[in-house]
Amino acid sequence: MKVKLKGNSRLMKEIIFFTIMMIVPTVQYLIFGFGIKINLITLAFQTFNVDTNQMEWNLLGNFEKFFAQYNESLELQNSIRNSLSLPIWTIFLSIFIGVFFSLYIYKKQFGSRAFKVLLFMPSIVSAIVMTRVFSMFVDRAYPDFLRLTFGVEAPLGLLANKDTRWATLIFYSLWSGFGSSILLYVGAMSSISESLSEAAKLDGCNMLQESIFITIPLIYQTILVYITTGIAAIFVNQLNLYSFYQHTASASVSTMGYWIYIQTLSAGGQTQNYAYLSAVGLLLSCITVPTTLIIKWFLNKVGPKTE
Amino acid sequence: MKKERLNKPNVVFVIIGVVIAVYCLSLIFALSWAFLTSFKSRGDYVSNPVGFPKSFLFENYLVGFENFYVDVGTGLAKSRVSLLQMIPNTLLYAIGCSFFLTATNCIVAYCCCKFSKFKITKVYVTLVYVEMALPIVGGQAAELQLIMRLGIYDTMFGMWIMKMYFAGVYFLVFLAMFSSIPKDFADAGYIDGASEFTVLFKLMLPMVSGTFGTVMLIYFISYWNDYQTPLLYMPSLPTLAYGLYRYSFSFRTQITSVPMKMVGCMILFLPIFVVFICFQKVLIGNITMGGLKE
Repeated sequence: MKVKLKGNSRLMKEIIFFTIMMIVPTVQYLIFGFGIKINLITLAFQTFNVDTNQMEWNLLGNFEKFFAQYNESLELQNSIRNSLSLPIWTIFLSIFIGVFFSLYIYKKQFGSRAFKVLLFMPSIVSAIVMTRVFSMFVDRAYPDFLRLTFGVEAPLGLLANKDTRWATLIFYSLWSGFGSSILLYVGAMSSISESLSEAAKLDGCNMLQESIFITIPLIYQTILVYITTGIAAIFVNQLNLYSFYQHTASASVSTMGYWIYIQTLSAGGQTQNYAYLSAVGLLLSCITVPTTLIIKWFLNKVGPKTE
Repeated sequence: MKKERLNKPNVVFVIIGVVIAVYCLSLIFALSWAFLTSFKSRGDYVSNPVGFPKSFLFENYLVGFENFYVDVGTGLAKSRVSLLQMIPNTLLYAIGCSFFLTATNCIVAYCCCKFSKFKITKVYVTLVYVEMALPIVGGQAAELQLIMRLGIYDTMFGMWIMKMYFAGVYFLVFLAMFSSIPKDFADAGYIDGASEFTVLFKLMLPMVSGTFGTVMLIYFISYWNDYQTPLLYMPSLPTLAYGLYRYSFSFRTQITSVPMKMVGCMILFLPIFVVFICFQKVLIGNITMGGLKE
């Protein structure tokens, strides 16, 4: 009986401790995690009635407005098209290059220690600094250099020139986008047992074969995390457009992440504007959530098995 | 244990090494160009856009500091926030948000690990995976409307509350760390009469203090560099990054030239670069998430 009472007392202390430590994060999540999602859903189905000067339930009003705007707005059409095409560059190419850079560092090849530090650098530099430095160089210094050195008349900067603008933005996204992902790949590779590497060498594998047939399959889940989080964020990715152009990015390079951010900034605290944006967000989430789940399921199914 | 290097260079790895070297050189070139350009006069830059400055004009930084400000508010309520006033905003924002975010991740991970017998902890862990994999698009508008209703819009305290969020990737880092600590340490504490609070704050947290510091440093750098969140959520408390954004797009004659724009960039970049150089071993070496592998 005494033991049981002591056990109950211990359990009670644990419950009290757990409750005290978890109450703030739980309430915070209920308001700012769960609550925002509920707010987004309820706002999406409300519109502003100019006659009554109040918000009213309207199941399809915001969605009809969005589709009408989509039909008329080249910027919106380009934003969706650009957002859907981004994963090829910003996810798959970035992961492909990142994994091979990480393999080089993991295998402690020449200069890998210095490269590890330098590859992490873009993560610590502010996006506004990187974009300003990059844009000043490609849009001001580079054309000035061409004019002075090669006598080119009125050269356009790479971001100012509509023919090179999109490619330059994609290049910048790749150029500045490495960093902490490489560290995480290297961290995952470092946890692979050395005995596997030694067994591979005994079987006559060279470094490249070992990397492709052993290392990459064993970090496949880490790669999958980056792919699925990247897919989940396709309509959130701004491609740094606000840092490059503020509100004035050309319609040809706009993305949905940029379009939503600009609209949110200019909403002016008006609930009807927030309601419309919430509806757009909900519509896009209905696309990204199942897409992400399907892609994750598919990649898990076709991906390398480690057995 | 150090891994052995293979003696024979592999051609593919040589090519990768060359590509990495070119990439790293491009990073060094870009930041060096920005640093050197910040010391040029307008005329020096026009005649020599990519070379070394003819003379180092340190007074560019004085002009940059004087013009690094943000006008907040409208009409009669308009006021000017100088660079010196942005520094405490930046420190409060970066330190406060990084501390609360890291502490929340850490405490929730500890509770989920220690009390895994409580079924509710599985809900928290599942929520983390769900939130990481399925972010909601366009939630900013709903979030803004909510914080305006709660009366915490445009406040530093409101930003801290918003950052007490446990569903981040570093929750998994802390969960792995606490899972790897043997239960014997806590049991020894209980035998000595320690309470749950004593075990957490005097035994467990010191054991993960290295990771706590590193995660907080990573978040600190991220918040130091972030300008879009202060722009949207606390426009009258500008941080240095927000100030640089305004400075970069300003048409004031004193700061329209490329050298002066680079001065603004260096004002934000150099302090964080010094922090990185001092702590790069901690930053790069201490995160041992281990990745996700079968």
